[in-house]
Amino acid sequence: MHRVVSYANVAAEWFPELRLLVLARSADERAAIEDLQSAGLPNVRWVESSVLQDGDIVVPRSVKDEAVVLLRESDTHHALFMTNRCNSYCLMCSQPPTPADDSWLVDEAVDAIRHLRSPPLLLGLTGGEPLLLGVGLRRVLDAVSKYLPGTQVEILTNGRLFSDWRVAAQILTGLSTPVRWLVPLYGHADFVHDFVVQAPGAFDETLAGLMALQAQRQQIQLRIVLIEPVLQVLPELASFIGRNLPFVREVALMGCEPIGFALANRELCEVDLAQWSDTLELAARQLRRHDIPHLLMNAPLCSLPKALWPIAQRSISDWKNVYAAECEACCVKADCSGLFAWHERGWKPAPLRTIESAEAIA
Amino acid sequence: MSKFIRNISLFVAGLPLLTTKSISAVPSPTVDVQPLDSTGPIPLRPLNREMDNLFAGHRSHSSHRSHSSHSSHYSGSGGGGSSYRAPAYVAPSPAPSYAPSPSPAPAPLYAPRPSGGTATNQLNAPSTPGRSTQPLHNGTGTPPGAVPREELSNPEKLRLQVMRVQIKLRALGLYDGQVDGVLNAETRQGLRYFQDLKGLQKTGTMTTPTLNAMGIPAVN
Repeated sequence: MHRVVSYANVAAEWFPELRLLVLARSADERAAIEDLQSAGLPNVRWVESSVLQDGDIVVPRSVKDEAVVLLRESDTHHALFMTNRCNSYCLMCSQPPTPADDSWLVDEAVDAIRHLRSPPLLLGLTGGEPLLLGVGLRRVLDAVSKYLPGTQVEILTNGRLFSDWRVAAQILTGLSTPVRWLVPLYGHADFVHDFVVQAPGAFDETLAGLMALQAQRQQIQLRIVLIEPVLQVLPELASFIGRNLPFVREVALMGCEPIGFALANRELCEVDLAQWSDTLELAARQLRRHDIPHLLMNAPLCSLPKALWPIAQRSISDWKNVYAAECEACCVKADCSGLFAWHERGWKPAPLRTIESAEAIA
Repeated sequence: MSKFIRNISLFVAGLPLLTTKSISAVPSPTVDVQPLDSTGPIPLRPLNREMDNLFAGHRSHSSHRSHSSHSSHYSGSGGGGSSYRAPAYVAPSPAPSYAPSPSPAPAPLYAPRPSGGTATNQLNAPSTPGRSTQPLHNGTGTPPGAVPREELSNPEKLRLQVMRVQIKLRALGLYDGQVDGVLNAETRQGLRYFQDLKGLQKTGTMTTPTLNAMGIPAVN
């Protein structure tokens, strides 16, 4: 793990426990860095690259003569990958899990956090299922609170392991880092949710996990991915949340990401959102009735009834966000989530149309 | 075009200075401007104020604390003083394709070639090499190096600050010794050389104007 720094900033940013990779632009600068090494600085090296930027957090891969950029200051979305293991096997999983032990990712995440130059506003932790890391996840969260004061963390988790009070105690007791837990819920009854996540007992465990989070007054965002089995019960799910989980901060209704298992389960995952407008509106009405804040993510405006436009977000992370040809002339493009970059190989959330200005104002 | 963007990023990086109350220092501009012909905006506040500098030595300049006359040196500090490098270090040896590491570091690091060096991103995120924006300091006004780290004891802070000064002096060719964090006679001589070049009072100590001119945030 290294922090990329410009040559001019070496003296200002040098710190004993950090490894600095200096962007050398000339032989002079390379020689100067080597001179510092010979003067007793072990943690300074130089690199020649036109693509690395000052402040990048990189893992050099010496064999392949390349560097993996974990975090970049100028990006708007920052995320750390915690594990590729998972205890669910969701129909539309965009990141299919693998069983291999990858606990080294915890150390890498802590190291990356330590090397960051200034705290980002928001840091996402994703996977896989981060709760499988147990105390390792807590190490990462403690590192954030120590090195990145003021950074809000968002963790994507199915919450199932919080049904075990030991795991909940391990991770949540005395936690000072501000965390928002992004927990998926796919049904109002166990058979729906368990089917979608392909794991028996998952519904009960996730609900117990949500209760454990609420007991610690943690912020919860429920995430509902809009695939067909879920859309079938969406209004019921919305009122289930309103009646039984009124404490959640918000509910996110999310378009399916056409990648990973979603491609394999295409007949269940490919939906035309435009044909489900009534269901979406009904679900939104239920949530509004129960005063639960809600929003739509990953759904382009042209796939939604106009009544739902105000709650539609530009939600797709910058590095995987694209627009189609129809979008070029669209007058609401600036407010629209656009598409996942891999919609070409998968499908679009609905047939796209160009919104004319008259329609947008009406 | 890039010149234009560069100026904007300087401007944005400087913005929080006006609103942040208790920052101890300003972010040093990280853009690659040449130090001496820089025409970029100059931050209004010096990098370090007197009270930030724990190790100014005995002759602290509390009588004229603002040193506004020296503040312009700050603008050059970000670029370092490559123009001051002594000929001894210019030795243009054939560039090795990797950075030799004298330490038992985790893995030998091979410097990616400019052409073949691909920066990939975990999470399938293609890093965008063509991106023209300059990295900002996140708008937080936190200077690099000022992010809270391990709690250091006072001797450790002194050692760190001396090491940063030694790094700077060595890069300028004003210091020939080890970067060891000891404020020895050689380091003090280097400080005097630097102060002489910058027209600062030749104290041989790490005064606040000296640190500001070097672009080194005080360790506190």
